[in-house]
Amino acid sequence: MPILEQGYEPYRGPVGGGRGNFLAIAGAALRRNRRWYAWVLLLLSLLFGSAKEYFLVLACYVPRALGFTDDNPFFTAFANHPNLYPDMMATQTFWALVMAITVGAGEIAEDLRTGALVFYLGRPLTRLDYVLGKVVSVSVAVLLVTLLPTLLLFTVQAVFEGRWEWLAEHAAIPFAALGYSLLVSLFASGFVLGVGAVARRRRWATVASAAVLLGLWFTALVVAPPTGWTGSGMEERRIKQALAEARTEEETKAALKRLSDSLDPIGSASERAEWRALAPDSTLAACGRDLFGTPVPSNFPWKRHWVLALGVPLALLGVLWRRVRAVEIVS
Amino acid sequence: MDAPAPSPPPTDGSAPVVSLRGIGRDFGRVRALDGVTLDLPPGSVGLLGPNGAGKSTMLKILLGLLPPSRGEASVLGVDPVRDPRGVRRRVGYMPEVDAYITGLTGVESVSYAGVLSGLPRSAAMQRAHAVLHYVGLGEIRYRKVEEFSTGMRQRVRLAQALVHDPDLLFLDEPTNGLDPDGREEILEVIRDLSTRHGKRVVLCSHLLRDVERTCDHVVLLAAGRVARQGTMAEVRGGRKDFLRVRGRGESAGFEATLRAAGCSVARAGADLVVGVPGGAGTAPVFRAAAESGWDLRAVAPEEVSLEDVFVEAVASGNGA
Repeated sequence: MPILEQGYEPYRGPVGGGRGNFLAIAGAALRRNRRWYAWVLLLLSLLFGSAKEYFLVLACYVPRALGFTDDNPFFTAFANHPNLYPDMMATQTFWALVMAITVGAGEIAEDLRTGALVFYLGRPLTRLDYVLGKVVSVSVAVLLVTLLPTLLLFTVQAVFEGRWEWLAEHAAIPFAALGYSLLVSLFASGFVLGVGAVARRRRWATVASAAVLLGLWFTALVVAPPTGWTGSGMEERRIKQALAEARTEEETKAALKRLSDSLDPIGSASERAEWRALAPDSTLAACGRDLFGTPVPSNFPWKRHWVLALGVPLALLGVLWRRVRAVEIVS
Repeated sequence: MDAPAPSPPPTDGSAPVVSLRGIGRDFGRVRALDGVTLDLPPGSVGLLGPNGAGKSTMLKILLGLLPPSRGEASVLGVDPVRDPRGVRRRVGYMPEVDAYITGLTGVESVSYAGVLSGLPRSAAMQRAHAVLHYVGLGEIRYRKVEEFSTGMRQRVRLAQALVHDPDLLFLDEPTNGLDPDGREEILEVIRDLSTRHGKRVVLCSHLLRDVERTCDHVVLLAAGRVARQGTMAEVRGGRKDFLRVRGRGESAGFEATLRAAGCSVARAGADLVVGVPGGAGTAPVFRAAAESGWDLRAVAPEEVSLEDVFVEAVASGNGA
């Protein structure tokens, strides 16, 4: 084909300052990750991360709205339990981490393999733009698993309640959900991008991230298994009985406390609870309980889970920062 | 807030495009650049040097990706240390190594480069189509970049460097991996950009022939220092031209006749590489063949390697 056929035309149009470059980088990364298995994983995440709480809330309100029954104390207790949202988000956290690994672990490795890092750093943008763009791309996937279903459930519950008083009483929940989702986003993106940055192949980066996450998760599960998962039918019957027998407000509160203790997806009631910190989702969920105002009991004089939840991703982002150094420009 | 496209650089026609004053860069105990002082004039400049000469380090410093250990630099009047993004906004960089984003088509890839350089999305897309036509990829611009051949990816990189219409182009080994036709076309584009469209070009290469075809000036780097600089004629001044000669039969008499005529002779496999005095052309070879009765079968210009230039520069004591 004859070259120079069209000739070179100078550009006379507007040029922006490039302040939103990180969003363009995030958009490109998200487009690259729109694969079928990401959508399947999103569905699984919603199913296993949020379906139980949706069921509890709908089981509490729908029969009442349809006039079939009066208050069902069991479902009412669950649907209005202060740990409903933090525990839902605790369950979502594991899936959010899996989702982050699926879409984000290979991002840096792929850029290293194809030289895209050179492409980016030769443009008028900074390392911060690049890292921020990648963090945002992972965060969007995480927020789809955590924040979106939580806010939707809150809206559903608010509509069923239909009272301003209820909304005012629970106004902190959306903000706590937002704060917790951002914390999980930071942790997930720091974790997958930092661990993934040590590899030069998408596949190995994904395997390495998954191995680290599942290794920690299983170790914590073996060393300090959660004691009171509500999968236990016996515990469920005891709670029902305690709620049914409660005559005074104090007795109801005691029953709810017992319910709170039994709803323990983060293992705070484990005999060796300190080892639960090995599991990233438990550590994050403990922070979530702080944000939702229902903190887990801790024998430590300082908030170790916060140190881990913030320190680990920042340290791993530091690894990423070094990998994206300018020396990579010309190998 | 969008601003109008940057006006032509504030430098006048003769002001240096790139200016370095005592630039040095150390990596631990390794001195990659050692007090380089030079001015690159407008037009097209070839930056030549073997591996480890310091040209990559110089390029990184000029792009504002690496701060110098000492000295000052200026690119189009902008300090790359203080305003690296300002430099990269006005410079188009074509890296030597593969640099593409998987999953994007050719036109998406170039358009994306435009967006990251500050162009509005629609303008970047229009511009991507135009520059891909210009570099000869118009018909296959909707294919994914990872499906392109090495030569096509090379052209995509050139299009990415051009998409925001920069004032200055840094081209790092732009003809790597290209077949002869593709190489000629790319060199033609570079020459066209430099001569007809007023682009300043800094071409990093180890191929003297590429630089000869496209550049007016040349800078030779060796061991972190400027070994030579000037126009092509100045740098090659006094050098012999080299010819690759092939014949049949015993060549001792032919070689002796050539040496007597002031030519150098070296063996290169079955061929002879003959260095003839500048401007003499092939005449001494034919004359020597006739005089010695050697059966001369082929004469072709010998590719002049960078190493030849350096060896001669060092041997003649002209190196830094």
